[in-house]
Amino acid sequence: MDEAKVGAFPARARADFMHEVANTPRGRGVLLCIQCGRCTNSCPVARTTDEYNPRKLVETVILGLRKEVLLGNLPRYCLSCFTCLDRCPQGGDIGEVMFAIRNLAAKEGNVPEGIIVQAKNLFETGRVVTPTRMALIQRERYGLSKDISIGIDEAQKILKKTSFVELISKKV
Amino acid sequence: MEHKSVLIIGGGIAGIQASLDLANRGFQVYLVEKSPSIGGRMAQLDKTFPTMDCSMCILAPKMIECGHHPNVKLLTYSEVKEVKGSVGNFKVKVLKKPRFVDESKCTGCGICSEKCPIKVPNEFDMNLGMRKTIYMPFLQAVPRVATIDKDNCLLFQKGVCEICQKFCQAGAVDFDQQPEEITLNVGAIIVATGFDMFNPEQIPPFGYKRYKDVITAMELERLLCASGPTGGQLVRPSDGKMPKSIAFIQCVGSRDRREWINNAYCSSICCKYAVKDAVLIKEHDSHAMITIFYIDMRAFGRGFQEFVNRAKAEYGINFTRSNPGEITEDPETKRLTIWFEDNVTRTVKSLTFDLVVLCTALVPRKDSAELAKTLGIETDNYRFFKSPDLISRPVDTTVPGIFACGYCLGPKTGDIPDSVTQASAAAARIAEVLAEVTKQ
Repeated sequence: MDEAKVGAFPARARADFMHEVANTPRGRGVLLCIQCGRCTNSCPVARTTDEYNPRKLVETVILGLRKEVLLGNLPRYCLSCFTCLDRCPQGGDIGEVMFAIRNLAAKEGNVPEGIIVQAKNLFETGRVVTPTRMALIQRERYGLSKDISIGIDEAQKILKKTSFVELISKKV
Repeated sequence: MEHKSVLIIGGGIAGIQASLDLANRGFQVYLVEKSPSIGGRMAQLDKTFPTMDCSMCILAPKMIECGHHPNVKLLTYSEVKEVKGSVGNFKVKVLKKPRFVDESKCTGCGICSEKCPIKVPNEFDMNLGMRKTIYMPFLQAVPRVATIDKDNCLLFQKGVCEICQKFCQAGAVDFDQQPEEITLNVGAIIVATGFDMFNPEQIPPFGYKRYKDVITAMELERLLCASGPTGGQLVRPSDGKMPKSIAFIQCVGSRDRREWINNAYCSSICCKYAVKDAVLIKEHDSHAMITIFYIDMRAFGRGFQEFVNRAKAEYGINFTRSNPGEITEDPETKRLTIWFEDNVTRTVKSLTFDLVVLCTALVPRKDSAELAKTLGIETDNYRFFKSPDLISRPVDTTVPGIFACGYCLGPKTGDIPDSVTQASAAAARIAEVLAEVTKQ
């Protein structure tokens, strides 16, 4: 964040935001962070764009700037290569923290269009990607059923029970 | 009378100071040192921070005093094998490894080393320079006696040579020397075994040993030292040219909680020695570009923050608060690229350096767990020796009558003055404890 935003942060900062992230299943890494910057300095994305900087993003979480983090698009820049997990001297899993933030952002209704489409696919067909004609021919060759709609109702049951449907319908 | 004798394990600056303090009080001191000479880590350093005093100039007089003191018996090239008994009456077995040179006859003239045909890497110079198989580790060695390195000696390995024996005018070379077991009866023990340097090969992205121009701070110290392998010339190990741009990477192996490293502690001296080395390089070559990549600049203590400020303002050393994750080498030019986050723009940039220095952590001695078992004392989860009460009895160990001082107690002691202070404290504690035992 730039200097002007730092100056304005106390009003919007949420001291408990760091723990909100840490208490999600994959967010424990924020508590270990000592801001050394090894994640940023090994990150292949950070080398190609100035916008994304994992250290800075974790710093924003620690500062408690909830809106900036959850309504922004930055955690989705992560390629999940987990180089940062290998390099982090504290054993903090920054790549996993990105997932934690994405999940929290989804709860706030911040889900990108493309993911909504995939999620809807999953709900309607039981698949993220619908099989192409080529894939169907291959299935037949391996002796698999041509009917790919088997078990959709069970999948839908699970998705309804895990509040998946609410998550994807928030924005729409 | 045995209440008046003390065993000191480790002949570094802490062990030397404790020996001198006790010897001057009239105690009989046995100083056991594993290597052929006392001196320890401080002997390897070029300068000490923050005053930039010559390290050897402070240490050598103390070493010599220790070597000549009537109350100090040096047992160099020896190891403690067994300790029994309790405070006031310890029975200690010390194994004196054979030097194959008679200590009472050797005059330290050095002709044997001159004539010896076999050269091997010198551990004292961090394997950067060479030494002969019959050698004295460094010029100011105490005792000034040669030692034969059995593993590399032609006579012991192939059964030919004996050149050193032919040239020795004092007739000191004795190939039939056997290991000797010495039994001592002492009232109390001080452990001052010091530290090892962390091996950065455990962090592969830094490429230590893979890239020739990535060196550790201890190696840099030897390169900068006038008595070092290059005579004080700072050169790149790959091509022997003077490096124009140098990077220091802090916290290599310290503050690292990864399972296979497990050093959560701050080593407490790396920031200071990095700044010292950077200033030393600037004094060698004022045009050198130096960047220190740090996490937090922990330059606490008298005179250290001022020293850092001077390094910035007077010497123009760049301080970048960002710790690089990896080093990559250009296979042709052998120059090293580091990606880091610029502090001003907060963007990720890369810079290319001629030489990269890894400021490695200080870790317990490899054999510290073994020694702790021999002595019956406890260690903490990093294998540093444990004090039962860090606040009121910081130099005690968990066994009464056994004390510790220096870095073997863990990173709470930072620099040389701290080690000296602790050594004097341990010596005073021994005087106190033995006085009580004698009264009873």
